[in-house]
Amino acid sequence: MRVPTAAAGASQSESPESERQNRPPILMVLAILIGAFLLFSSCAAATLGLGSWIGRVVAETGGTEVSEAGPALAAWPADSAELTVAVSPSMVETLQGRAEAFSSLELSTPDGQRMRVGLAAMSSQEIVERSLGQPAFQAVAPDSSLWLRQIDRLWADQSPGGPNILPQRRVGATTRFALSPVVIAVREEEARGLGWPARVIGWREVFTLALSEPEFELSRPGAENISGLTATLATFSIGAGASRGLSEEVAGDNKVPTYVREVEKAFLGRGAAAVTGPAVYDALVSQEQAVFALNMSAQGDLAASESQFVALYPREGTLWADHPIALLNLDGGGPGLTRNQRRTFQAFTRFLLSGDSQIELMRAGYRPADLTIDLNVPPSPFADSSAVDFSEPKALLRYPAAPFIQVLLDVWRVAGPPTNFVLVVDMSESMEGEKLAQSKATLRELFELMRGDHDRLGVIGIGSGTTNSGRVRWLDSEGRNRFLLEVETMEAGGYTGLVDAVLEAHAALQQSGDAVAVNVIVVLSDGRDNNSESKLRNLHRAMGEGSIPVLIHTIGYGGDANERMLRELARIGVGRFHRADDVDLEGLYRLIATHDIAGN
Amino acid sequence: MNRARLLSAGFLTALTLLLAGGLVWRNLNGQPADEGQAAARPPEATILVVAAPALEPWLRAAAEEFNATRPKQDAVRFEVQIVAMVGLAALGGWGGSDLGGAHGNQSNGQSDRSRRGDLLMLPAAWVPESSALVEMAHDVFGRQQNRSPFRADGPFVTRSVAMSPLAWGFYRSRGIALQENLGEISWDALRTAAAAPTGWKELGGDAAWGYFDLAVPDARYSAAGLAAIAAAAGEYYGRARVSVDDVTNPHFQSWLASILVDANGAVSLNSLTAEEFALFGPAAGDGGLFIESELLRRAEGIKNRWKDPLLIRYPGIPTWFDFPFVIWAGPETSEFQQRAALAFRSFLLSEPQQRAATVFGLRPASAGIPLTAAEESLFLRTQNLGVRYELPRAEASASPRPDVLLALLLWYDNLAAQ
Repeated sequence: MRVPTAAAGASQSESPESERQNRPPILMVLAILIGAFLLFSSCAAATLGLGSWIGRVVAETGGTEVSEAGPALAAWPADSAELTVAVSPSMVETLQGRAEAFSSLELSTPDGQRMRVGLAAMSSQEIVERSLGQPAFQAVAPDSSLWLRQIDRLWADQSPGGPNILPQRRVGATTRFALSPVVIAVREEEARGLGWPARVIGWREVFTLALSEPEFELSRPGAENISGLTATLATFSIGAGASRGLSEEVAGDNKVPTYVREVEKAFLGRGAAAVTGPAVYDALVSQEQAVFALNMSAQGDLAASESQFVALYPREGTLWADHPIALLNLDGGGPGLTRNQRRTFQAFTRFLLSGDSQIELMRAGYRPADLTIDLNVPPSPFADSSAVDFSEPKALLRYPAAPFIQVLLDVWRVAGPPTNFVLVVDMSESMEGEKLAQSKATLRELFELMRGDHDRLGVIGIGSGTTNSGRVRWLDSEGRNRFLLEVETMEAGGYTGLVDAVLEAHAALQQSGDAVAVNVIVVLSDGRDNNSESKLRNLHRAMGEGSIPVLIHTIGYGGDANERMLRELARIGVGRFHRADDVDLEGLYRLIATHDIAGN
Repeated sequence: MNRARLLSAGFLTALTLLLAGGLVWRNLNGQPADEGQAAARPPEATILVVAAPALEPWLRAAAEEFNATRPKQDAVRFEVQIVAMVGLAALGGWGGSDLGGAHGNQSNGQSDRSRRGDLLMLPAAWVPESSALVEMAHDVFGRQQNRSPFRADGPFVTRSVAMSPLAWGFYRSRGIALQENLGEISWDALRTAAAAPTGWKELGGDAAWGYFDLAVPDARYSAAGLAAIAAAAGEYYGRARVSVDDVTNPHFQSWLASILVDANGAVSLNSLTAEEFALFGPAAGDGGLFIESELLRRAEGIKNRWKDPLLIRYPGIPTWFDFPFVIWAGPETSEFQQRAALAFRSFLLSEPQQRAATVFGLRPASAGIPLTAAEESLFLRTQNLGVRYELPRAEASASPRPDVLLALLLWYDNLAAQ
């Protein structure tokens, strides 16, 4: 049965013709306009809210973002409640989860600003350096409070003195939210070979094994993070025979640098480990938390097996990754910390210390900062684990004095493996003008950063503007100076065979056969490839087949750069894409030269 | 539907979409819609209180309670915000920032000041660890400004809001072993322990414990650390008051250095905060000298994590932290801020809040409130650790003068630099 609607009823009772006759057009238009006004007024209020809501939702898509370095210039509104935290790579994934959970709480400040936390990933050493300038972040979460002391020391050095001898502090309120001691993660069969678990193993035994058995692959991350720094400190301590503290004087003893160099050589090339993953090494200096991650990545779960890694807590002592989060005392020169950002920091740190967050951190393999949480009962991964022992460590290395940390970092950089760079320099027609000028400036800066002849440098040009188009030319220190002069006179021209050039660079690095070094290609281009015979898939295949692991970093020039191409190249080469306007070359160089393993 | 209706409906739809789209666009592009809305809100003041970290948990909880009462001053609603900062750091920050300049900026307008950061904007109130720091501020800023930096008139006179003494905290197994071998814990006993060539092996403990490690906060960064070495001076001279001459005496300095630096020239004293002492376990320090409340707050956690409870002992001559609540005077704070800060201080001194302080291991500043007044008092829960309810009060104890502290700080700084 068809039920007539009111409108249908109306149409049945009155014809369109009679309706027109009953309601004059002018009245009808007026009625519509009044109705429209009322409708508009009621909609407007809803739309204001809806529009804002849609805007917020679209703007927040993806939740908390992790940027690689944050925006180039620090700027935020005076009432901003958005807190950006610079965080060390080992914690970034876990902290990102917490930051997203925090942001989802939709907390607001008393003046209605929404509290949000964003992360910027960078090494602890980079956090130190950036904190001394005008950072694009307000809080820092390096992997150890040792870096906070370093910030304060350097800040006091560069800032006018306070009253009497009281130094100024760059680091403000600090909270520790998780802990993990630095351990030597060793494959269980190797550990048993050393006498574990009956014997307490030390750095000395592990170093001796690495020096005497070439098959024993020992690796370590860069000294710019706490695990790497601990390995370097331990190498110095063992070399100096220091049983307790280590002074600059003791470390400066003649025999110490020799021992440090030998041990550093025994460490597996960091580039190789970064590309091929944990399968290639037998032991790795890392945070205890990484032992869970290593075992999980090998098996997909935490179950023990013959191939699992176990944590050795060195007899001579170790250091803690005590994961502080600290607010910076931002003043002068740039925007100051807003009260709302301080509120967000307080709320976020409280959130990190809440029961839920502490349990989540424990699930990720960290020891919670809340000491009342029992590590010996589920869901603690420490419970019944044969790979770790939460009653350890029984001995700690002395925290080195702040000036000595710089000594360790400097020595490590020189003693570390060399880097083989091949720069792929685009001088094709599309690079003409500002792009080429910027590219030349990049080259000059990169050359200045090279460590004498410790690093090898090759260049390959693209386009008719270069004299070595299509072939890699290796340059010594003198060659670099000559090349810089050449660069000044180069002009853009010709076509871009970008993928071909990267393949050529890859082949040159394979031919060099240097597996100990970090091998890296740095592409300086606008990415507008219009002349390559090879495809990206050819490069992908070549990267997989090469015996020497190679990393690719790309720097894009110009607003019209083909970022997609450059990002893809970087992805294939396990590297990063950078825009020329934002790139921190010193940071990039450091990232390459101290390439990290597993983000430690 | 006729043509006019269609046109009207179309017009309305287009208008609505345009409006919604515009708002979406403004939000995505961060245009200053929010700033305009924020400016339209009724004014609300925030009163910053910079406080010693030892007080922070109590003050933060108290501030929440206080703010929940929607406090008003001169009909303007305000809230209290706590900023934890070590007293020495606060002094260093304010001093180096040219306090006079910060005052002068008052006329530059609030927006300029707020963009310079909170630190340069002096808080309305400061609660450092001890009165000695307030005196140091008087010395430093009084000279700079030729006036007292803090109000002291009428109700604004400086008042202590809580008390806590320095206390030895040892992992029990090690503290007991030490006491059995060297007698009551004292700086002299610890000097013997630090000098033991084979460490715990000859100190009656487990040889696996290694060397004896003493933990004290770094005197360059912590009032507690500075007070700890001042306490060592008190014990060396056997009296509560020590002078600059006493602490610069080479015999005393050599005696103290023998505790801080071992026979090999390595620093045998671990510079740790109470938090680090608890988090890093006995490997970082067998025991140390800390603010009592910091130890009590972590006692339960230490027992749970390290399966070795705390043993608490007190130096023969107690050193007190009196947490004075001072309110800034002069143009850097308005009368409104000063009165609002005063209201918060009165709230802290109320009986319920003084009782609540004991929940955080702090001793009430107000006389007549027993340490066990609150059901959740930490003094009740940590009774078996060796906590003493009765200790000689400030008048009979060491309360080092600023010049003495600065002399010690200079010496310690030189020693650490070596």
